[in-house]
Amino acid sequence: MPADRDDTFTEQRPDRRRVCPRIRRMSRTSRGKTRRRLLRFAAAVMGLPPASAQRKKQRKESLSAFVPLLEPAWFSAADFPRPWSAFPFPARCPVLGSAEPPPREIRLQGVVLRLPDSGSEASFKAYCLTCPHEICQVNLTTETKGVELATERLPKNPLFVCPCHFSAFDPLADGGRLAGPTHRGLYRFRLEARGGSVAILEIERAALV
Amino acid sequence: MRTRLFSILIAFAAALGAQAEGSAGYKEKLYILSSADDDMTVVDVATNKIVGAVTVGALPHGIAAPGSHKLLYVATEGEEHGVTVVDPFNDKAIEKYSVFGKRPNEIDITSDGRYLYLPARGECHYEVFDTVKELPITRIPVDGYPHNVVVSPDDRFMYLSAYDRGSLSAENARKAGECPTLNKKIYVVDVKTHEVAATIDTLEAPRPIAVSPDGKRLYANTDNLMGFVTLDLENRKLLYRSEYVLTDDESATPSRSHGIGATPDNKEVWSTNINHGFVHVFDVTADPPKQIAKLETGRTPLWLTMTPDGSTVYIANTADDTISVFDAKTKKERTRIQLPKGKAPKRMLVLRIPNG
Repeated sequence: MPADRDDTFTEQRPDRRRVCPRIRRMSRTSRGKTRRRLLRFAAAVMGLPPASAQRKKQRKESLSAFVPLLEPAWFSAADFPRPWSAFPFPARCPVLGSAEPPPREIRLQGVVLRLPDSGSEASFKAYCLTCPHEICQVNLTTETKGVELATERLPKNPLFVCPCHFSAFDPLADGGRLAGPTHRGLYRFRLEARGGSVAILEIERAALV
Repeated sequence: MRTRLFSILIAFAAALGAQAEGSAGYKEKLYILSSADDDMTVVDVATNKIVGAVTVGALPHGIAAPGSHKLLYVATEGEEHGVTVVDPFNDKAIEKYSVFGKRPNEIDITSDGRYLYLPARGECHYEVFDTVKELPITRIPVDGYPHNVVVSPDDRFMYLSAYDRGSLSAENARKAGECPTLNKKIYVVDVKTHEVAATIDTLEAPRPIAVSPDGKRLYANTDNLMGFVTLDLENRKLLYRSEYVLTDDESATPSRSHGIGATPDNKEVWSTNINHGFVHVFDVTADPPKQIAKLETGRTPLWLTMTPDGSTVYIANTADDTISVFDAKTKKERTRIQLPKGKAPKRMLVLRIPNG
């Protein structure tokens, strides 16, 4: 009986495992390698991408909370002369699951804004204007009487407020929910602010689900 | 001299207009609820000018009037959880009822003014208020979020449109104070018994609804449909699912249909498209209904209403605090009424108020 086959039963034979656990592990690994090689060969014959590469890609996609835009949006930092300066932009996003080129497209409206400075450098945030509640377009506004009436709280800074059902979101708290029927905060974009430019690169995956 | 002649002509025309209005025996006013405030704006239909405002209570959400148009009921979703009765002759609140369930939404009333149906959004049921006894007399439990109701032209039925939590989990819906059940149907309630007589499938959760003036069809915006469904009310079944005609560019941007009305001549349905900023007009004499116009509105058109003769269609543009005024025949926007900032106009109603 080949050693590796014998080793498959080592769990029922504690004496052997205790004696030579390292040999057992190596044998099992080498057997798995052979199987993987065979599967890889079969996949290559059938013209399929390697399973491990697929798995890796799937795992990466499912773990990544952000998805690259089809086309990044660029701004100059000089376009934002003061805190709360804001610019809307159309975000071209891929439809999830449409991997074949060209991916199908969904267009969402975003806004990038300069937050009140906390240090020497300006800080920026970009949010998707689609309300997670019922896909109306939220507005950045200081007209927050509806929020006050609904929550009996007086907002201290401009908020994103949905005109449909008055869900309110705080730009200073990562777009988090302040009030209203929404179950979560605004969807976010990932951006890079560097060397005088602001690049909007990715959108939160949940926005595309 | 020319200026003077012009002034005389204008005065003459105004006098003629006033005489015509007087001889018609009524005055028409448009009432616009401020969904983010505590009042409603009053507009003179003849001139499309704002003529006043009435304080009704926090976050007004529903508006209805009996056939006489001598009273106006406004449901307030804010802290009062009630209904305010308004005298449209003087545009003053004359009564307040605070006896309803949480979060009353869009309401309707029988034409004799006796039974007011009110969706209690926070309670998962509709309430029936007897205006003579001045008491809620029964509750009608439903699936989903009680949201809209429309009475049939012959007063025999109330059609209840409750939407639902959609993809939100039942647990999260409960946490948010919403009803956890799903709903994809219209409830048909017999007004004599206040009991559910039937339900009609809508494929998706129903939103704003409109009944055709002949009472034979019901048009409903639904979730996950840029358009509306047509229901056959005689046979109580779904007839058509009509989608807006959009360009590829427009289709790539998610939107929602929310706001629908049928013209009094039974020929057209107007339905709004909130993120693209359109109202779509469908010929409903065709089977299936066919889109015949796509008209630009202001931002986030969330509701529409018409004058009783169907000549004018008003669209509430919630995000920019305006009302688009369309000529129903020419499909041209006559004017756009700017309301004070922050009003977030939504539900509206035109009242034909008898003279005197």
